[in-house]
Amino acid sequence: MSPTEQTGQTEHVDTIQDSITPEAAPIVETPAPRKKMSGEVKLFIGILIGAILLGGAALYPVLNAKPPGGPAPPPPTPVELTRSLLIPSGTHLKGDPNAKYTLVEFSDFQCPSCKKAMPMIENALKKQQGKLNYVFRHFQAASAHQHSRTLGLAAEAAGRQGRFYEMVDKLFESQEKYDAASPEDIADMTAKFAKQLKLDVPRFKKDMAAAEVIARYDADMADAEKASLSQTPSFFFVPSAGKSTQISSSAEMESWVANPKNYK
Amino acid sequence: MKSMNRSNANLAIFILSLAGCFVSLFLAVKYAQKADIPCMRGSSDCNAVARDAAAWGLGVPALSAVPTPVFGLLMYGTLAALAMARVILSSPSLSRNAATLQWAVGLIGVGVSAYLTWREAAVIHHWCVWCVGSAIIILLIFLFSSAERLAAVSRVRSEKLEAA
Repeated sequence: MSPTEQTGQTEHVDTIQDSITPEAAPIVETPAPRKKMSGEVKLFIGILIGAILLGGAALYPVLNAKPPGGPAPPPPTPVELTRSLLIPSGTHLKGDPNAKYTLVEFSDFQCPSCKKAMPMIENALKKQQGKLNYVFRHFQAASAHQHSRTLGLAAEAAGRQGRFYEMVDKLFESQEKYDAASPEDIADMTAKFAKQLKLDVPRFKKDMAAAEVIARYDADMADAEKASLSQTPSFFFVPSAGKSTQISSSAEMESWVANPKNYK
Repeated sequence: MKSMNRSNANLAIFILSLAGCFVSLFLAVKYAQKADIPCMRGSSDCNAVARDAAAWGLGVPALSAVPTPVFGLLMYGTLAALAMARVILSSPSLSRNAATLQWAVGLIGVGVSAYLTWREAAVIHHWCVWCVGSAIIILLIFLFSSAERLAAVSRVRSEKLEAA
């Protein structure tokens, strides 16, 4: 095997050799591979530069998006949605019931961003004590979250025994286990959480299938549709009077509720 | 098989490796930012895959701080560098070693990729289109590399026969 063949030029050299006389072969054999080699290196470098430019252009929006990984969310926007649509009667309220402002979140127990938002909300409720309270509502945006509804019903069933937000915390704590879980696993897990919260477990299980509980979950989903929501988490900053503000990311929510100008 | 000469196979491996670098870099960025990705209506299932234990440090607890796509990025970067080295290196033996290393990295990549794809199917029950794309890319790289090796072996055999 000649050096040219070993460096990957076999066919090219063979072609050249076929087209020349045996006497001329020694003359052209040496420079030909050099030319080809140089061209090949140039081709590789050209492809590399092209790939870097194309890849860079394609990745630039991903690297700079806020939140990262997707298009930049719209800024907080006033909306015409009624207070009764966002905070229906009998909703689960956390914090001071007399607070003038309510943070409404449409959330999903299988959504990682919703889990991440929970400590931010707790922090905001502490800092804005007396001014701000919070309402959790159900919305399954991503079809891949196959246990979202069952988990939501578990929270509602716990709510019938006065432990809605305790169950919300429990459900978010174990979020990583849900994707790989079967419906039976989810039933076992929710029953275990109910036991840990010292709920009446048989009643809890019965309530998960109760028409009132299902209707409550479905009403949240219907209201999310009416509000034209497309993602979780989705937030609304709702004053006791006046227009509500829609907030589309946890980061925006955190800075919005921390801003004293928003509590007039 | 005869049409699979070294230059063409190496060029194909180089282009596929660059495509793999792009996919891995995209996924690594997404994984690193996963907590801020909102769950969109009808979104792909990449979020579910990104939450799996094997999505971080290939499932090895000691490496769990590193997103698995970073390992993919290293692998594709190595494959692209080896492809580039094969056209730059003047020493035939070094070039041959680079081709062998390329094949070995491809083989390991196919193995790891097969395991991760199996997890998507059997454990996570969700598919991430980017991860599947990466699996297809490494499989193609391995096939090109294997075809090139087989072609080289048959060429050497026929040369030996001719010489005999």
